[in-house]
Amino acid sequence: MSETKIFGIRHHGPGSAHSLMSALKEFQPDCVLIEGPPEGNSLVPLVTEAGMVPPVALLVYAQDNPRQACYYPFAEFSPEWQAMKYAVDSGISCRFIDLPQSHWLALNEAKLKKHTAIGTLTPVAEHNFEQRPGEPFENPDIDLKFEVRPALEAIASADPTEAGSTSKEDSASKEDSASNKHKADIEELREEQELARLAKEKAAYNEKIKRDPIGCLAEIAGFSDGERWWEQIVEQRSQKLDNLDHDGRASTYLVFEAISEAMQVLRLELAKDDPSAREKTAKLEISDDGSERIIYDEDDLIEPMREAHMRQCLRSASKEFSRIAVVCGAWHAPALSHLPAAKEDTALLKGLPKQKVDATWIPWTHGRLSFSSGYGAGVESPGWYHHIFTNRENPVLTWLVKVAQLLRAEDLDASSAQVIDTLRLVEAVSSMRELAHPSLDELNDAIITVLCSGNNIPLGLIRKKLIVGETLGQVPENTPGTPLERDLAKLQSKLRMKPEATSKVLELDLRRPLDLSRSELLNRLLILNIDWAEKQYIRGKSGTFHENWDLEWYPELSIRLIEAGIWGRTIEQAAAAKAADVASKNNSLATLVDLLEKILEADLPDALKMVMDRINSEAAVAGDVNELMKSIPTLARVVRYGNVRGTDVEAVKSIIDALVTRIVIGLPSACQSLDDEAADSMQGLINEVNAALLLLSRQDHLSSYRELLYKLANNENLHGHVAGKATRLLFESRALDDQAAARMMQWALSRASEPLYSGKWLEGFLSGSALVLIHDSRLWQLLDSWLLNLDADAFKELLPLLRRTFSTFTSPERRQIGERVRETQAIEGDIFSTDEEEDLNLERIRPPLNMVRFLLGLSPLSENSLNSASTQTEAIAGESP
Amino acid sequence: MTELLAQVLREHAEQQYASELTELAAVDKRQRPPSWKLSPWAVMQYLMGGKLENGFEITPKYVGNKRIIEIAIATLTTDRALLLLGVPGTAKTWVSEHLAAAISGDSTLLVQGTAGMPEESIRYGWNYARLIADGPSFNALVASPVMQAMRHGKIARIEELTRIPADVQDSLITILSEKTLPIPELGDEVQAIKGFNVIATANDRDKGVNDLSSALKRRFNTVVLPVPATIEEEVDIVARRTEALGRALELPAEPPALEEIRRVVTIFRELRSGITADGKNKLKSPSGTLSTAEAISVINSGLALAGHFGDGTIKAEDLAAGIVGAVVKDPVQDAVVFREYLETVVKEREGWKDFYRALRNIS
Repeated sequence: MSETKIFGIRHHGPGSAHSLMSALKEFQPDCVLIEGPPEGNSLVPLVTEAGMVPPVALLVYAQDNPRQACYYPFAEFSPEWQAMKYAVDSGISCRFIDLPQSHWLALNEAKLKKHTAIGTLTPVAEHNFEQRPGEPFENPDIDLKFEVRPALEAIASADPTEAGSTSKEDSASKEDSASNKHKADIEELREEQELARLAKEKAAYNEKIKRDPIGCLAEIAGFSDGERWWEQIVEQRSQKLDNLDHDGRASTYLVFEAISEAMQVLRLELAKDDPSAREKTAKLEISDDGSERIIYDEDDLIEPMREAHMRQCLRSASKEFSRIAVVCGAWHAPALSHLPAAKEDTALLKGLPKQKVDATWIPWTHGRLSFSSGYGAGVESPGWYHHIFTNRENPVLTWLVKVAQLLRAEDLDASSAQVIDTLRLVEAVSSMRELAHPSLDELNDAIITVLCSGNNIPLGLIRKKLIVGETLGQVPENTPGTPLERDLAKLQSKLRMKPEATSKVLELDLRRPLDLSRSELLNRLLILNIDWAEKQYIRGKSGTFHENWDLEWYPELSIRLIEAGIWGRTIEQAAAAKAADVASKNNSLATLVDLLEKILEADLPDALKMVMDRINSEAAVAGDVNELMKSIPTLARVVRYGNVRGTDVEAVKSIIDALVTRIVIGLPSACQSLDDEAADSMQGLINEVNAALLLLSRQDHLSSYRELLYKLANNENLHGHVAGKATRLLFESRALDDQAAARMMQWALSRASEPLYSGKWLEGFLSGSALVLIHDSRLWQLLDSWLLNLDADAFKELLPLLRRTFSTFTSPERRQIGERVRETQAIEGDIFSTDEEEDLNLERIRPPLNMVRFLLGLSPLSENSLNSASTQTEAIAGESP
Repeated sequence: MTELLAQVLREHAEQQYASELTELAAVDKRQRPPSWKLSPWAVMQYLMGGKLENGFEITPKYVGNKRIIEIAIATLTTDRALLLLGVPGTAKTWVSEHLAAAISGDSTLLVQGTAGMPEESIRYGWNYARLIADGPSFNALVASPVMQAMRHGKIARIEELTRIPADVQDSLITILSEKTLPIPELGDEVQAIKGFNVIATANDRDKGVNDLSSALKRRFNTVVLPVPATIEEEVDIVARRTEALGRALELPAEPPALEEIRRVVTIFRELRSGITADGKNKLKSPSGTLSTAEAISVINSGLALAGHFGDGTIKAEDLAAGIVGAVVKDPVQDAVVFREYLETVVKEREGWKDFYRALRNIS
């Protein structure tokens, strides 16, 4: 008969990993069975390969549909990882014993199909499969929070040395009395809280128990974290036991026996209220009809099936090996310690649907190990766990030093003296809380109080960089291909785009479905940082439905493709996940708007909403009106031309609404006290926003924007450039009639204004508009009649300013303006009268002037057309050789 | 003596809760730091309340996060001073008084920080009659509360630390780092006895504060007392306080409907936290503190308006002026923030039309 030991561990628990390592060394098994997908058995030897750096995940996916998949992430500190390494290093057999994913995925897909068919569940439920099967024990009828408490009291009070002798009846009876004691509390609580909220809480708590039973035990015992509980209750005791152990048993194993005992109690307690009848009827039905229908209905059956499969594996292993170590979630430990007759298990596992699946290793990150990333069995603080796993000697001090170094790198004060003070506070607080070892909570509290002076913003940084961490794993080169690679290959053949190492230009017409899909694929790859193709902008071919891409495949892209595997299993899914991640990490509005455009081009509706929300909230807090204004043109373009791709742009419209409101409120103060450079960029922005709003032609936006421009135009304290631009835009939109515009121009350019202001105003009024000046007779006349009404002295003063403005036009433009001047003259005939006061000898200046005119290709001056007015206009137009 | 006490307007914490302190001392078997009247555990019990083994009930002094108080007490067991930071109305002074009462049995060693405070208030002054008559000696010295606390190993309290001019603040540096107060006139010094420490309270968001120098900041452990965590808690505080104040001021108006209070508190909380109550939209925060205390005064002035000039029931118009006054502290920046808030949040909100109109008219 073989000897079997069950090691019930906490998933991703460094404490469990450590205990497991020493227990395995002591036990010297010749076979290790691990709770995991049997499809991964062939991949186990890769764990000791040179290129393998955790965190990595074992990915099992359906061959024909990679969206159906399951990840099993492992970090350095995961007990399962350590067990695998131990097995490979010592050359013993290592097998995964969980229910094969080929069944599991098939069950899920069948369920999904059924629900989609009757319309109760959308395919979005696919998300659920991503999570690693934690410790599901669905039981919505009882309040676990209270039922668990007595069980914990039992384990906390039970000395592990007696664990073997403590009978189940004992602990069960203890719980009975304890649960009676707590019944009153339960009643009270129920009265206080609304039923709905309670139900919700309960469901959440059940979910939590499923994930991390040890963590829940710890919480009830008053620990904030399962690791601390393990450290305090388990590790501390096991160290003592090393010396006390006399009966020759493997002392470290006692820990696991005690855990298994506690879980047994917990399971019994749950089973009491949860009539095992349900399980039985389900089983009966199976044997009656033999069909799989029942199984799909009952999610709960997955659990018994998993455990049945584990037991089956254990049975077959015990025929081959003599010393078997089983590493499984603590929850399952009791189910494996007694092997009932194989008949029931065989019946349960009979006739399960099957699906072809593949497995591979993919790189993972600490960030995606954390619970907040949506990973069901995730942990709160992977970085911290890694730290305590690798620094067992003095985790607290080394952690504080790490934190201080991080703060210093970010230019925040963190002297060694402060680190010492933090350490002292950590010790003082832990002793107040009566803890032998400080946990992350104490550390964080002390870090805020001492190192951050009460300011908890730096803690966000610490959480991101250290507590969660940014470690990225690696997989060796000989790892089998990932589903993302398969998906890309599939798309490449479908869209007839072969990866080639030589550069090739691809012209796409987005009105054709095939080209549209191609463009989407290339855009998605760009989001994933796989720059297989580069978009080219060709002048003249800037139609919204034309795109040119330069395609070139190089080997590094394959590596990036593997790296991108953490984001999803299909290109679309991965790109959406990556985009959402980028959006959540970026605060700059410009970047987000950029991203929005990319997402629309890549057609990723999943990420769209997230990015919109981010833009919305960033726009709300953005203090810089310039940034808001910069984002308007892109958004307007999206709304106006987005329809080429058939995307829904309603949401963008609402963002624009909010942005316009904010700009209208914020712009007047943003235009105060600008220097030349800032004013220049501001008038450009005002112009761009105006153009964008015209593009959208929404009456309400235009009218509120015009109101704003009117305010700007009439504010004498603004920079002339901005005021001039505002006047000009109003004039152009006919919100100002000719007379009003003329009056404003006179005011701005009157003697009362500083010459510099006038010049800037004129520059703003006329900038970038030579062509408009030539073709818009209103503007032309406005300027012309203003010039004609200037007296000679004022003209002399303003001439340099005018020259300066006109010098920004190109010379052909200036020539055209000059020609226009002549035409006007011709039309208006001899309206110019000779200025009697001019002290010029007309006879003497005519020859040189005529020579100049000859050189310029103009007709010689007639006797009486030489007058100040025409010289004025021509002088300004700068029509010189 | 007892008679005299009965006439006192406000008793010190150690007088008012003397019985609790005695009971706690009796059951407290844990180790006490030097000069402490109670162990850190018992101080914790005193502040957070609870039932003792002998059935004696301790009233809670601070309602809120236990962890904050744990950190505060743990700080005082080390040799670093404690700085309680927070906006007005977060019970800073209250916590500091009770900590001092529980630890030293004496909450009277108090320096009240003011803008015109001289260095003597923190260090020592002279009794000039004595100084002239006898020359410089310890007898002619007028010890500050801080000096007394050093001599007797007690807790000194400094209120409103940030109101004190920066140069006077810095005279604390020697006291906090060297634990000594040199008296160059006598060529002598006062060295602190074990158990001496300082609890300072400060407000970092008010206008007219003198920021602590980094040298001084480094000598303090900073504990931030948070504003009420939930809207229910805050509405409750505001409702109770306005009712009490309204009675004291004999305002002729009816106490305001809870709904109005809830709306004011909602505006305050949203602008303070920079996020709408439903968590969907982000907002800009104005420069003011928007403390619970200010919400109370907004409601009170609304009550006064309604009582003296209105029909006695509080309306949106009565509250609008107060709200705008509390929010818009900086006429340029805050006005923009508030208008944005009005146009993007209040305008859209169901049943807030009257508020929107009233606020819009005034801002």
